[in-house]
Amino acid sequence: MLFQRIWYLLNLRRKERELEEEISAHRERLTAEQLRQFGSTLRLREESRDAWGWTWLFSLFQDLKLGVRILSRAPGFALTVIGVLALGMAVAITGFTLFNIIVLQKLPVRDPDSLCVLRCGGSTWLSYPEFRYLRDNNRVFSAVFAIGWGELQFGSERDAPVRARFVSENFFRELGIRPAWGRLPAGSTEASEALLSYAFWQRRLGADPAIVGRTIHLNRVPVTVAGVAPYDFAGLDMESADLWLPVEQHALYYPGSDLLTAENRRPVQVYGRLRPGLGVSTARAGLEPLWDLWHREHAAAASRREGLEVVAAGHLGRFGESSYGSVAFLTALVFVVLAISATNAGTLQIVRAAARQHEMRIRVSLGAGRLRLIRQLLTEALVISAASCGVGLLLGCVAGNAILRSLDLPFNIQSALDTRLVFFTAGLTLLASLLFGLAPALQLSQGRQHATRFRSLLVGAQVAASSVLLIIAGLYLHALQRVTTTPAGFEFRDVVAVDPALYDLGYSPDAARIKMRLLLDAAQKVPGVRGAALCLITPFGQRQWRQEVRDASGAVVQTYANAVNAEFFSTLKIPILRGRVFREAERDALIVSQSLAGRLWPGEDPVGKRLKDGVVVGVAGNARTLTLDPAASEMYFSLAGQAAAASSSVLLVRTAGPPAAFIPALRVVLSAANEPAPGFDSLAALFEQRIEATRKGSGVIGAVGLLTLALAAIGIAGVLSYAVSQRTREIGIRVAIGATARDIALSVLRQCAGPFGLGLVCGSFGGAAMSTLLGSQLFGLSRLDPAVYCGTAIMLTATGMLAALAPVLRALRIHPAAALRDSYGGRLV
Amino acid sequence: MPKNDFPAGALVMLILRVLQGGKLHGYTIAQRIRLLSGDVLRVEEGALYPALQRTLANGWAKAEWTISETGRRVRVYTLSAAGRKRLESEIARHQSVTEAIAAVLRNA
Repeated sequence: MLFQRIWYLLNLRRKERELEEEISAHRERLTAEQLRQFGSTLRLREESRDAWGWTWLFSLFQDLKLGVRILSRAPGFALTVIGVLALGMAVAITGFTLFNIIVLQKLPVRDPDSLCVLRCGGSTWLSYPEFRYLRDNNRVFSAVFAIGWGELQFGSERDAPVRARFVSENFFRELGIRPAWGRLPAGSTEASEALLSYAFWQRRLGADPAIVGRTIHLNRVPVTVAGVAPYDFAGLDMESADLWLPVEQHALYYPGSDLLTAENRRPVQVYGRLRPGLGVSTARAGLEPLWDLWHREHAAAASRREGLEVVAAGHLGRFGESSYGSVAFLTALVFVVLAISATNAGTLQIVRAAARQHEMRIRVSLGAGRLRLIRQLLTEALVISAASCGVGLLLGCVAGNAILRSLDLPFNIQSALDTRLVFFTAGLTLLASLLFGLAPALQLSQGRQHATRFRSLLVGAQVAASSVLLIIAGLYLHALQRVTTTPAGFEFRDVVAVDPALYDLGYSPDAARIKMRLLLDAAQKVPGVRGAALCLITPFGQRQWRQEVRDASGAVVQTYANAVNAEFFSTLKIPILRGRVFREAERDALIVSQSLAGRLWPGEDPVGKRLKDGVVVGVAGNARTLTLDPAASEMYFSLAGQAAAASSSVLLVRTAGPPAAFIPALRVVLSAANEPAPGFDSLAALFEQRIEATRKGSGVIGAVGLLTLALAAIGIAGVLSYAVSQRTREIGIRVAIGATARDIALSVLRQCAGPFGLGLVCGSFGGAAMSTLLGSQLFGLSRLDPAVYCGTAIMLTATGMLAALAPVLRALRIHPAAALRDSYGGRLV
Repeated sequence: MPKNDFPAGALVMLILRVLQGGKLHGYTIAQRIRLLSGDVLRVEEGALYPALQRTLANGWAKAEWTISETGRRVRVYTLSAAGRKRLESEIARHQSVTEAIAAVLRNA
């Protein structure tokens, strides 16, 4: 039946011609008297369409045609509304594009739904013995595999290292990876074989078609290329892998590596395949007794005993409970912006509706029903939101791709116009046209005007939303400005951190101490090196070591700690204000920063005081080597006293100019013949990395904040214009009975002042609540920083005044005689 | 006679009934109904063609083009299997309704 109806619709022209022919054949047989009674052919045609059930489609089409015609008569209005709505939609579409890729798209592996990753204490890293134990004893996974990460040297020493993944032998089988060329690496421990990623094969090996079977060198170890992975597989993480190697051969590339046996380190990620019918929570419950048992039996590892979590891993983004907050924050942000733009478009609609009262009255008097009018107005809204959706989709895809590129995701991840995005966009169009079309439609079709209170509240909501966004952007910017303009207290330009990663190479602390001594001496002999030092924590690096100390009153003082040698202070040019630096092999000595000394012993001489099992021997100038928070204080232990730390320590080298020029020479001198080359990072680059998240955050949130500010301005202007047009007569009368320009301006402004102030207050509270999510990205700036909140209020007020300017001026120009003559309220928007 | 006097759905039932006798085109369907009703039921063309379209849309009848006795190209309608079934149920429903109405008229 449905098929016949669709067939009819597709052949509408022919079908209607046939009907006309049939009717005219009928007519030929009728007498003149009968002919008079015959209905019009046009009506017959409409009624026969009715019979096939397509009337609604034709009237929708009519409405659309009318809608387009009406809008093209007011192009300025149409473009403004489309622009306002398109901005909101672009934000929503950008958000969804990213959400789609990270959360909805499944990884290109076999059966992604049953894939899980194990998490412990918020991180996905476990020790290899833990992996082996869980693999051999669990009953919830049909298979368990492990992935260890490593960076290996490939080609010359100047080239970027390759990102290797050390995987257990069942990795490829469990993920269903079929190589594009060659075969999978054999799991045996004798032959060293690698599977290359498609991107690595293309970029670094020139897409050599005869690569399979060739030998490449990784960390100077010859490796046979077994095959090339398929194009769409770049690993299970945000960071793409260059090649995969058997985890059993880890020691081949890192001589002396204890990855397979170390119980006190967690260098592997563990993935499992859920048995059919099991969920993540049952799997977790099933693993818990095993995990407890293991940690009872292995007391050494038990010091880091935390619960095990099972997280679905079939997508790029793994969302455990901890990340729900930020996802909710971003979703809320997107919908706030969308709601603002929709209400603004709605306000503009209403403002224009005032001008269309007349048209509506004529339509009603011609017999249009209320439902028919609402339908017509909603169809117009649909035309507008469809147009804005097109623009928004374009903007959103461009922005989404730009963000993806800046995230440095695997190259095969791109935003594409897939069915989910199409459905989302279609849904968005409908939602937006309802949101901004329904209220004006109801109001117009009733043919009467509501008080402006509702729309004033909308203005308040917009002001609140944009102040939330501006406060967050302002906090970011202020934090950034504070960090980049406050002196660091030491000179970090022209310093290179050299990390030989001795722990990974299996050095014992004693061997590491000798090795570091050698490296220190070798570095100092390189021409252009102005100083070299050792420390445990790289300045601006990823690692942190916090210490709690107590001041005289017993209150806890949080401080950042490092273990350094005596040359640390001269190399980084941190002044020693009192006392001295460490002596050779001095074990339990301490140096504190001036600010820490001031807090612990105000007014006293800190030298000679006992602190944390040591004696303070000196006071250093306030330097921010460990955190960017200007208010934080630091303390330095003697490296000689931290015996176990030797294999984790790092070499700092001050060069005579920008470090890039000296790194090649340092690399030659500091690389050993049979070991992988150490990692080189300039402190300036590490500093940039540290502030990058804040910089990006301030850029994105600031852009969205300015956008909402512009939207709020449009909203305010719209509401006030409407109010002025509604009150033309009243204003005319007021002027006639002697109101001054000031009275008029104030009475117009009063319309918005209350909601505006309320919006500011609510927005400030909202901003304060939301800023808790920013955490460490503010580098110690208070999230209630008064300058940011005042600045936001001033900026919003100024924008609001600016937006009110045009409607107020129009109100001032109202001439009493003209206003009273014109019953419709004069010129309207 | 105005078309409003036709009970709802009755026209389609009558069309289906006259089509039971074989292929007919629009004009002859109207003629046949008028003749069989003793000139009481005059099917107005404005009602006939929408009703015919409805029978087509519901698949109760099939249409094809032929040359009429007057040499004009006309569309003739044939009852389909679905139409036959529909006709039976319509007649049954119609009879039960008429009987019920008659019963009320008799006994009230």
